[in-house]
Amino acid sequence: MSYLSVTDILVSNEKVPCKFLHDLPKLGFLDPSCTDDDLKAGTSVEIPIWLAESLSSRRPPLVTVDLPKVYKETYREIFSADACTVDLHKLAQYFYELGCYVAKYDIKGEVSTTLVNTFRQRFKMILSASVATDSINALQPLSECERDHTAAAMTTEKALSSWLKRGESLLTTATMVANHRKRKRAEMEML
Amino acid sequence: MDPYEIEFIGENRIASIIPNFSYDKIYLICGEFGPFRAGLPMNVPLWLAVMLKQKQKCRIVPPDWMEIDNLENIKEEEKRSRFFTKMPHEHYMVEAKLILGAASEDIPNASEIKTIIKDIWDIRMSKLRTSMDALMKSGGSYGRLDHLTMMEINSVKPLLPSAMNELLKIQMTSKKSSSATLNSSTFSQSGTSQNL
Amino acid sequence: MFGEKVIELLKESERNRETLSPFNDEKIRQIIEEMHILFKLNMNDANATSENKSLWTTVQVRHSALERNKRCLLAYLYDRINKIKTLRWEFGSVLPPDIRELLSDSEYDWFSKYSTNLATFMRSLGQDIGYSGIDLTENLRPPKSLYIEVLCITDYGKLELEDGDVVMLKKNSRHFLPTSECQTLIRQGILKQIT
Repeated sequence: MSYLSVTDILVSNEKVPCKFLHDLPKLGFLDPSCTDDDLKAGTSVEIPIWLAESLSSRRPPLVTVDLPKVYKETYREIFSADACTVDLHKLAQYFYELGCYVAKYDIKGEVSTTLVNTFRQRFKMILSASVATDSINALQPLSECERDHTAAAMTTEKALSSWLKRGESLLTTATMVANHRKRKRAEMEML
Repeated sequence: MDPYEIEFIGENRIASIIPNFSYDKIYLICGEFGPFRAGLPMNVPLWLAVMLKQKQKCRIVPPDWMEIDNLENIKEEEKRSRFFTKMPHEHYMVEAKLILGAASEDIPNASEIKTIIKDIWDIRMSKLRTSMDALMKSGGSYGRLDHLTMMEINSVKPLLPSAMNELLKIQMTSKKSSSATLNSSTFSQSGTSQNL
Repeated sequence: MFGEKVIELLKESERNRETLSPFNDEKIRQIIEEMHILFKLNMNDANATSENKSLWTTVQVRHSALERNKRCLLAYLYDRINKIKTLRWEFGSVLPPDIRELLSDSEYDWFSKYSTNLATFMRSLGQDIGYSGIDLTENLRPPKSLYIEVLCITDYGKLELEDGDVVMLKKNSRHFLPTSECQTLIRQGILKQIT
């Protein structure tokens, strides 16, 4: 159900560099540096990938899509050298998801290999972050997708260790209720 | 699953007790037990044994496997082997936690037993974690998990299946509109399996 | 115009994954305004295309933007609906007033209908063997004992137990109550279990 997925929408909002192949009258506002009302063929603009996909899939295509720099040669080498040293959160929050969209514009198919290998290498960062005592620092360099997996792993880990320690299982306040109370308390303190 | 749910499943196991009261047969959903005769050993579900013990109505008989030499052997085997050793039964951790928690005075050498079981658990969990990482790195799409108990398997969910899903998704979507020759290669890696 | 405003709505949803924020009626109205403008521009250009073929591409681009806005709005509403569903399971069928005002009127309508559906379903369980239904929102964890000790966190007032006894729940009072009676109140955060 990715049509309604909020994550997918936020991912497809990320910008990619494109070159316009045709004149587009009245759409000059897409290029912030353009003073004209019309967009001329040959201009290079960064537009969100949802728009880029829609435009490049028309027959004839209205744009050509170029790879963002994170998926280009230089960065690909960094990833294959040591993927675990990269701070993905700073570099490309939606690295994997955007990569899936962008990979089809890479004729050589190298982007896809990079994505797969990077994910494999960094899996152990997810593993260690889920049991880390200093979880904030461990989470910091992970991308959104990696963070989601880590959060799930942390919940399991917490449940398991509290089961091992505790005798009785305590009934607890429901999650949404607790969060709502917390937010209300924070709002009251601000007033 | 929540660990307490697994505990719920595990505490249906039969345990041996010696009641200090007499009572007729009781008819439970899981079966009939009794009659209870003070001083005579009998079998009841583990949850009932723990409850009676908490009300001081019985003594719990330690299970066969819960004694020092046996556990030391298991621990040595676990340390030695690359794979997982067969545990006394599926819910050894649940049984250990409940019995040692409620009736440690009925078990000889209870605190040493607690330590050994905890050691075995730690060794197995760290083996599991290394195997998960190795599985992801090597790209195999299935692994052998002999002799893992329910509680241990539960500790890798949902991380392992969802990470593998993610990996498959990345492989499939990013190769989707590349040239036709790549169509079969996405599954070629399943040829290597990882013996966990 | 091209989806920036609507993304702000979604970012707001994403920031508060675990809670519900107030229904952002104002922003939604602005976005629908934008969609109307886009549509009107397109109508004009589409009619003009017969003379000026190059406007056709512009029309297509605007149309993508319209569909994008629509998709984002639907995702925002769907995300909220899922959170509201959780509300029923956590707060019960009656919402406290400060939660109630976070929902729009049609959302509250949906909530009541969902509540009714759930209640009808729960009532129907076991009807053929003579039960009047099971409350599925209880016992989400395997119960451990018949009675539990609880501490009251906020003033609640009188609680009537099944056997007729009335317990006064004042802040910081402790009680020893049957598990089945306390469960809902613990989930709602009014009581807290203590070992």
